[in-house]
Amino acid sequence: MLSDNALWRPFLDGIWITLQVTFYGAALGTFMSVLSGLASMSSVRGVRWVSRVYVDFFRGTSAIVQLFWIFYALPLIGPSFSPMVAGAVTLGLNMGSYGSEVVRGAVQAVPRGQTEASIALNLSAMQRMQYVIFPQAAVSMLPPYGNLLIELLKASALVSLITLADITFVAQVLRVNGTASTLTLFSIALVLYFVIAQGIALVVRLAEARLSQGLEVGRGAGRRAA
Amino acid sequence: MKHDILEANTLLQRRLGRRTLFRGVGMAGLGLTGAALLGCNGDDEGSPLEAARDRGYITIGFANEAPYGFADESGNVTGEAPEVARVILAELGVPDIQGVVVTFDSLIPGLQARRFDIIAAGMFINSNRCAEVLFSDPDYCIPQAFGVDAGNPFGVMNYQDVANSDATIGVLSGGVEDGYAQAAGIPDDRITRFSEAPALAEGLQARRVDVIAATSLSIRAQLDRLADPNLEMTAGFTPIVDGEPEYGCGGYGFRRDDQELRDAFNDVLVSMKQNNEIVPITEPFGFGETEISAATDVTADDLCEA
Amino acid sequence: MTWDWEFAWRIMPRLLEGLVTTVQATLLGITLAMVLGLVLAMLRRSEVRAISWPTAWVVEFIRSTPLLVQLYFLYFVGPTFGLTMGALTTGVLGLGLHYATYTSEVYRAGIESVPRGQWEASTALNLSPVTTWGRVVLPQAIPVVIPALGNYLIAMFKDVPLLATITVLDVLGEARAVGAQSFRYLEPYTLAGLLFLAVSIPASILVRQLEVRLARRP
Repeated sequence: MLSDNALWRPFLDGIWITLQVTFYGAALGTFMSVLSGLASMSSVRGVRWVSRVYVDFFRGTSAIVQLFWIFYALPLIGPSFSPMVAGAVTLGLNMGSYGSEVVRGAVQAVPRGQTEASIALNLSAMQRMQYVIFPQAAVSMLPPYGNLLIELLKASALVSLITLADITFVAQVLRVNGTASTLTLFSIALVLYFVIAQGIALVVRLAEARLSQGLEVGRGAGRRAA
Repeated sequence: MKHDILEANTLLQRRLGRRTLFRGVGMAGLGLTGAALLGCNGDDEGSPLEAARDRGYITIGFANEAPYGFADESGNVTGEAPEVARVILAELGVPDIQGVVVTFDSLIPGLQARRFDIIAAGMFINSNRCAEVLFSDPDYCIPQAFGVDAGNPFGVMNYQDVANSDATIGVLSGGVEDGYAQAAGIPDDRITRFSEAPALAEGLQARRVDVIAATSLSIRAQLDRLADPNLEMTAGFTPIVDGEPEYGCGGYGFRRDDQELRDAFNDVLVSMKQNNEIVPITEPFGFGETEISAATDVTADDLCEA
Repeated sequence: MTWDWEFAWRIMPRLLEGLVTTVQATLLGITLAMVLGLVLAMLRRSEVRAISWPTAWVVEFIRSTPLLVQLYFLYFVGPTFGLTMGALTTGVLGLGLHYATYTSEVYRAGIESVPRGQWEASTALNLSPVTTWGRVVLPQAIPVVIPALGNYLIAMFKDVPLLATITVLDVLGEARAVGAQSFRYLEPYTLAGLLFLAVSIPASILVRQLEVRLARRP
């Protein structure tokens, strides 16, 4: 079935678009997760408030409505983003609103003693976060972060509604052309997403194994014993 | 697939020359290097025609509705409107067109949001749409028809018949048929609005609706595609709205501030109509002398005022 | 283009009508997801590998593929097998199936939080499986998972607009229809977004309070 040129060629192009949207979305989403997660723990009230509004706004509205708004309504009163930018920005900001909580939870779970020790060692707040707290928090962030990446991949199917020729879009166009049965086309699409999701999960698991190596004697080991 | 982002962008430049839909559409979004995440589309200031000449292509929006504008098997944009537009634009010094496929109801907002420069989807010209979009003169006129179950069990030949029966009707979201149906008094809960013509026809086949309405050629194209002996089309008819016949004539849509592009385009279109150059281009899509000559003496102004 | 208050006011009733459909679809969808999720969670705990293993894969498959494509699948593929459901029914089924894979994980965690001793005691008392599940395990497992289910309720609410792609007239469907008829998109889409905020922000505050209250319980 997949040896059929008219079928796999468009799907390959579609995979490429899906991967790109997911990648750019993930890059922005990761950045926003860390930024907003750290901001939510800031000692400055205004900073916490901005983070809260961002999280509530994106968690409170529907990604598809945001996407339609950015794509069709925003250009009437402001800038017109290309479909790829509109898609990546919407997906990234949404991911960030969920990732924010992940980052906050993980950072807060690092034992207080670590902070106290860093202060005793005279590390600056920046160094403390960069060298002590964050590396430890990152390990416990990874599994939920992996889930967010898979949610992002799934949400990327929405970009088919704003003219981007991703996997879902390709399946729809080929359906209309009658290139193959709807059963075949949508099954291919679902399997492709599934495979990509498994790939993401694998990478995250590898990263997890890698990151937790140096911490084996620390918190990880302690928790396992508990 | 091992290109990095920058390479992907040069790849984009190279690929823009091709007319493949999948790429063309994907390309529309590929203006993305790392920093461009926050950048915008870069609207070309000044004449869109000049810009298109420099770029070598212009983008057209279509709704994947055969035979008006659709993607063929290999993903190229084709159909009555894109093919006529292709010839006109070549005449204007724009060698290529890039198709952007959207749902029918996104054609006008897509144009206004600068997602593409011309609507080439055989869109009917009427006063409502004229308030939003500049139209070229029409290049065809065509009656409406219904797709129904074989034997036309509800006996519907026009919108009034549907209103008087309890049949449910499917229309294209944003299509003129929605307005015709409402004007005939069909209640809203008997109207289903589909995003695209193929889904409309599949809706009839799956019995989601009893009747589907579109132009006669669109109904024929969809029923041919499904090749289902249990479905048939009714005879063509001209809908009556407020006691007046509504002639369905389709043309090309432009943004309201692109008067210059519209006029240049229209001049070529008018001369092609006079020289009988439209029929040979549109014949492969089922448009005959009848449909094309019906539009000969009709202008956009006639239809906008109607 | 500027904001037109008069127009916004005029289209409000239609959007609210859409909101009613959205809420309906959410409630039907979550009911289905809660029932199906429980079934999946119990199947997954089965000691028969021929049952637990395929269940795990089905859950994993549905969970890692897009709801939009699943909806298309149900909507377009169903009829080719003579299975035609109304658009709303298709949508609710899609939502229910998709979220059942999430709720099943929630139930699983809840069930695992019930101490082993409770199972052993049930076995010792010679309780039937139905009694064990119905009277011992689930009454302890379910209260724990209510906040998590609440979060999925909100998440599902936000996914209902996907049903607009299969002709359901939810908030987004109505906004699109209004836009298609009036050629004004700024107001319908903006109001659609605001309506979502108007429902989901109070809802998430409620869930948060529920979380706090349940956490306080011994």
